[in-house]
Amino acid sequence: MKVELRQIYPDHLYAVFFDGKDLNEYEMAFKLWDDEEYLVKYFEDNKKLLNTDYWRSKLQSLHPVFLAKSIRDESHELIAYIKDIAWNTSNDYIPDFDSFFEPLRDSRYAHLTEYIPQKSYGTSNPSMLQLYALRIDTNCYIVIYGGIKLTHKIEETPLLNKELFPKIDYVIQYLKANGISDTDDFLE
Amino acid sequence: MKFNVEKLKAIARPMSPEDKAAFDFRNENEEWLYLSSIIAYKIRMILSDKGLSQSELSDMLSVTPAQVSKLLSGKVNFELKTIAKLQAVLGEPIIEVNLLSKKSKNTETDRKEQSVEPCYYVNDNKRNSTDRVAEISFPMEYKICE
Repeated sequence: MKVELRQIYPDHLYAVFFDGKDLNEYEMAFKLWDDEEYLVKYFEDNKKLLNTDYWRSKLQSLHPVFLAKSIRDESHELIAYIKDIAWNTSNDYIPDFDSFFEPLRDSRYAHLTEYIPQKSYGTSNPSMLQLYALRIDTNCYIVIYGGIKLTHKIEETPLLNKELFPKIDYVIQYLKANGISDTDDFLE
Repeated sequence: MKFNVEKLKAIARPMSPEDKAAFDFRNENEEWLYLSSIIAYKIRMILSDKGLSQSELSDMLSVTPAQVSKLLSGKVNFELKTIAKLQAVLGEPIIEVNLLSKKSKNTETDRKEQSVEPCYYVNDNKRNSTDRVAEISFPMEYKICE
């Protein structure tokens, strides 16, 4: 699997492009989050994960069509929000990208003291949309994957579990191999 | 862990033509895509309420299942002809168009803030033909029937 980095908002937001895909991971996430057929099927396939007291109390309906529409609306809002965030970041206003992303607390990254993968939420509360990224520097991130999180733990949402962690690991290896990260103190 | 930001900037490429096309398309077509997604949502809910499949809808419309799938993608610039046909075969209204009686700027904020007065075309023989029933101005308010 070949990896490239693509500019989204240069100097601040980049995205990973995996060879063989049509789009980089940022664009791919928003494409899927705006794909009615994909979303309806996703919620039909994962209806068991939604059939919880938590989601019943938070959502107006658990109908896959309703949820698909909600995700599409939220993704449109999120695109506009990120555009605003990018402008803020370039002009030293907040919220900026450092406010947008927060550390992904997962036991598999607990050994990392200075470096932790990041996550961001969508615009709804609660939000199912999550963008995952690596923080490179102040207000500088690489988006690795965007997914729909239906459970408290990532591992419990099958597609997220299957896609996210291998991609994070792969991108870290890529950064090491290309001299973007300092491998010597990686596991400090 | 330290990152070499300059190296990152040096090796990161601009968006591919495919990425840029997707990025630009979203930005340039957001408003009508949003309307299209609402219409698709309404159609899907009618199908669900009536227990109809997409395949059955394609039969009702005399089109291919692929065409129905496209209509339901929420990314179609619907023609009024198509909407009228959908309303006819589904037996339910999909959109209403309320003509506004006040002039306004064509912005989303203005549309939300504007007080909308109902406006009617009245087929009333008692009225003098010179009476102006309603002053019609754009934009129109779109409403998805519930």
